[in-house]
Amino acid sequence: MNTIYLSSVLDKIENKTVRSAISEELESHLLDKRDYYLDLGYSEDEAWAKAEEDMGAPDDCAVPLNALHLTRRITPLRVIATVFLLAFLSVALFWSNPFCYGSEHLFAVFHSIGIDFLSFGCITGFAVLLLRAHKRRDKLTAAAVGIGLLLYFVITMLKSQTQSPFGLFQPAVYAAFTLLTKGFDGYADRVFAYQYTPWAAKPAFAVGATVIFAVLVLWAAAVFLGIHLQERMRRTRHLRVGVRLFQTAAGILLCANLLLMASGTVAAVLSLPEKQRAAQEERRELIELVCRQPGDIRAVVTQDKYQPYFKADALPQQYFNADVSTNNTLLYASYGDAFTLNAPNAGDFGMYGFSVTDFASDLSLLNRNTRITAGERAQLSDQSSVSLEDFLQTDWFAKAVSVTQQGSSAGGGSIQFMFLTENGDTQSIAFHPVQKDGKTIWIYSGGNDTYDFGQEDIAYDYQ
Amino acid sequence: MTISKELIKGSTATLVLSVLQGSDLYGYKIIKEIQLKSDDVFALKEGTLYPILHALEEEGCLESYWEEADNRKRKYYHLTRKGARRLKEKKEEWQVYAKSVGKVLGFSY
Repeated sequence: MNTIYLSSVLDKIENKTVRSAISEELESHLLDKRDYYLDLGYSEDEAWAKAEEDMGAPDDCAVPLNALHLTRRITPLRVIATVFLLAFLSVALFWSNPFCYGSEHLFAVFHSIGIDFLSFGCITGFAVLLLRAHKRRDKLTAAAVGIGLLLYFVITMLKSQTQSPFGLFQPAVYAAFTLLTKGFDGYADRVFAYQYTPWAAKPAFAVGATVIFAVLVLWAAAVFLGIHLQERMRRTRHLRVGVRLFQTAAGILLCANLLLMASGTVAAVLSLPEKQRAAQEERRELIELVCRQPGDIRAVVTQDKYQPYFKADALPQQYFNADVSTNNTLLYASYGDAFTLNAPNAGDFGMYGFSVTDFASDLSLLNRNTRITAGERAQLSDQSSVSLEDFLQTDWFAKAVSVTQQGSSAGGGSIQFMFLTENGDTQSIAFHPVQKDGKTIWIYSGGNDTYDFGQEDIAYDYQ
Repeated sequence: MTISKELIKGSTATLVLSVLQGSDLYGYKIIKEIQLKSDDVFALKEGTLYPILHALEEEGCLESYWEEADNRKRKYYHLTRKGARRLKEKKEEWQVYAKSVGKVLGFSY
């Protein structure tokens, strides 16, 4: 159908995408009005003429409609969406390690409230973009969000060796998961320090992050298709229901997550002084243990303090962390204690059904959740000049993620301090035993090395 | 009696929101409903309805969807929560306005 009125209006509509929809809508109106006049007894030509006359001047309709649908290529929403997506994908490509609490790095268990909120911000950013795209009927933004998410999927696949699925979404899920399962104190423990993230928990928040990814992709698709089909005058009621469902579900989940994280943060901050006091106590205990006791540290720990063999028998299997590929096997015996212990010999691993590792004679004295930042450099030089006792008095010690005795002092073993750098790499320094005045003294003997950790140079001269 | 264009112009959007309060309607039916409820006092030029409908949709006061019946596609409009809020505000505004005008013109309420 092509009436004078209709063609006059459509001639002035510049946006081709909406032109056909406007045509269909006005045509439907004119047909209804024609039918009305036909029912009143007018002839076909008269009915058309009356229907067109009732519509008024074409410009009264066309000019405001054209102004309303003039598409601007660059809108604030599109600019914001572009910046957000570029930033998100850059982080995914180059800075994703801090988000991977449960990554394959043995010591990459750094947990930060800031990262939790950044992760939450990423999810919220996608949700807000989709809400605005739906509201502004901007299918290009909806498509960009969907494509951005799919690109992130590709990046995740390419980086699968070092990153858990959809790692950028994980910390927010992890925070909620930890708060729900471990409570405020458990969350604070993981923020401030001294526990590994249980590997048994990793799949839970990895699955949670994957579900979030799937919801966002489906939501983006529903918004895009809803707008696209509406432009082509198809029925879209089911898609509108779908978009509403996604909006409601995302709204509820994000609000609940934010509420949990906010209350968890407050609780964690309030418990900070007590955690710091406990850290000081732990440090004092280790200094006592290492520096005041003569002989083999393992003997002291095993016989007098932590009784690892008895504890090991009682531990359920999930407290073992078996990673055959890297030959690292840790036995979590701490439950919040300052110390964790490796299984003492190969035979005991067999007992629990794990592969034999090279760490049979090692004794891990401490594990904690900390990370040194870039630029914190210090030089250890002048072989044999630094005693362990002095080292423990410095801030360096507080940054060690693990302290391990390898072998025994009698057998020429060492005490190793492991540090985690910002990018997830590990560095370690070792102290070896020497006999001095009938006592075993541990000294640094690594040669002239520069390490990216510590806050100050130490050059203690041990005599 | 016919009402001057200026008077109608300012209130058409409110009238549209009002007739969509009960059920979803398409353009032709909206016009009919307004005419019916106003005893044919409001007989606006029908083409001017569509810019109003599209603007209200753009603002989020209305949502639209297509339905097909009797081989004719029709675009239905649905009042959103925002639209319902807008209508409530406009009604209150109108009550105050009408009352004030009435007072000035010497009508008793």
